[in-house]
Amino acid sequence: MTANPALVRRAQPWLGTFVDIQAAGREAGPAVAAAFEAVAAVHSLMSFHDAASDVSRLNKAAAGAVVDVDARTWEVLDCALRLSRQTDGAFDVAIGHVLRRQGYLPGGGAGTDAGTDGGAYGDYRDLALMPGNRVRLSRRVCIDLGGIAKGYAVDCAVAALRGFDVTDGLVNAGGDLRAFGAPQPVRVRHPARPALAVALPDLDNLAAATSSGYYTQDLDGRGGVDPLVDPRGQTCLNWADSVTVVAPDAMRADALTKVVKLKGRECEPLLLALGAQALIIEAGEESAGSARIVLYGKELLRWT
Amino acid sequence: MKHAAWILMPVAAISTSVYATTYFTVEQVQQAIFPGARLTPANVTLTDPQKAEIERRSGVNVLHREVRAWKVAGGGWLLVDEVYGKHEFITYALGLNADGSVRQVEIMDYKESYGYEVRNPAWRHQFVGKTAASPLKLDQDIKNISGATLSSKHVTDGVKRLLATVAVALK
Repeated sequence: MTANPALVRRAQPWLGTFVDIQAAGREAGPAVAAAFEAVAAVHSLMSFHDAASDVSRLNKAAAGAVVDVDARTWEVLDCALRLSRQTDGAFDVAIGHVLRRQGYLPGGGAGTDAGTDGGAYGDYRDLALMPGNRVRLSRRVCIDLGGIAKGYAVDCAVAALRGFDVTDGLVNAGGDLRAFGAPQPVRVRHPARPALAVALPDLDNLAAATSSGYYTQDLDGRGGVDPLVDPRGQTCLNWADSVTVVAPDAMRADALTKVVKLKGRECEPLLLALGAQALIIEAGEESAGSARIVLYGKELLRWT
Repeated sequence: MKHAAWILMPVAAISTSVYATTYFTVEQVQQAIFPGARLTPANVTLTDPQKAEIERRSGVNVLHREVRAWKVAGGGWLLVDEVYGKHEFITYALGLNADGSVRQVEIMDYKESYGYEVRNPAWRHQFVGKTAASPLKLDQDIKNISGATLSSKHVTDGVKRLLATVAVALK
């Protein structure tokens, strides 16, 4: 624990990564405890591995089924489907079967693309959100919320923290982070050299998410394949540069990193419409001692 | 089409040896998971048959035989364990309820090391600025890192191993 008695900082494993939560203020202790409960709830609802999660129940449902889900799952799907429509399917949570086949999710093996009814899995267009937190499936799906649930969990944790008497806080779920209160210092790892980092301007009540390839290896230990699936090509991509998206909330930042990686500058209008900024840290080492960062979207950060 | 803006930012080393965050000491984590409870040390050293049985039940290898455990008055256990990733070393605590279910997992200490690279002068030299002879700076102020997901699989595997350990060697 730090020397500042009013600062509480803890970390627990959730969502397949480490969630680090810190808060300062009179009720920092109970605030952080409540924030972890919020993260645990999102984990339980959206886990691909847990048979009782909303995600598993959706993935087991037959074509034509209407599935009741938690309001939080519905909210994440709502954001995901909007983004799918805005990007023509470049962002699509219904790609779990490809991740499974590549070994990034369990259950892989020959023939796992087909649902038991013999048809291939549907895509985002086969999911329809209905009132009362229900989801109708026109085809069987295999959804994975890994590209958006961490960001959402961060937002839920921040909301939980702010329900208490705290002045500042930061929630970091495996590199998807969001700060509130006083501006917070953030570093982004250099894509080619994880021991090096670049300092961003302090994050002033914003979220940042980073997508890059250096921690990703599949279960066979084959290096270098980033499990970023191009839904249109249905394969996993390899990408050396690092994409950081800064946005007002972490769910948006998290989901947009995937879109920016796939579409690059083409998504500048979308970034502007969603109030987000993309930072591409280039992996090349030509500029010794410094990293080149390409910026587009809304200018949220103040560089000095 | 607007030209992309770009900016050149200095890179700094996260650490010359180890980047670490300490969250809890043993005394602090006991209070965090079992506030106000009386804990009695119950350390054991695993025998060969116990090690084999734990590995069989959990599917996870046992790397060291010393088990750091405390029995909680009224039921429950606290264990402190360590796991190693490729560059990471993590100490964590697991609290179990009286019925054997997981009560809480808290990271106590996180260390990562790419130090073997950063300590090597030849490796550092490539980052010397072209106009200045300044060495690669060490960033002293790192608290929050945004980056790709570090997997917590080692810890969740460790929890599986500890659950089997309690069943095999502590009950």
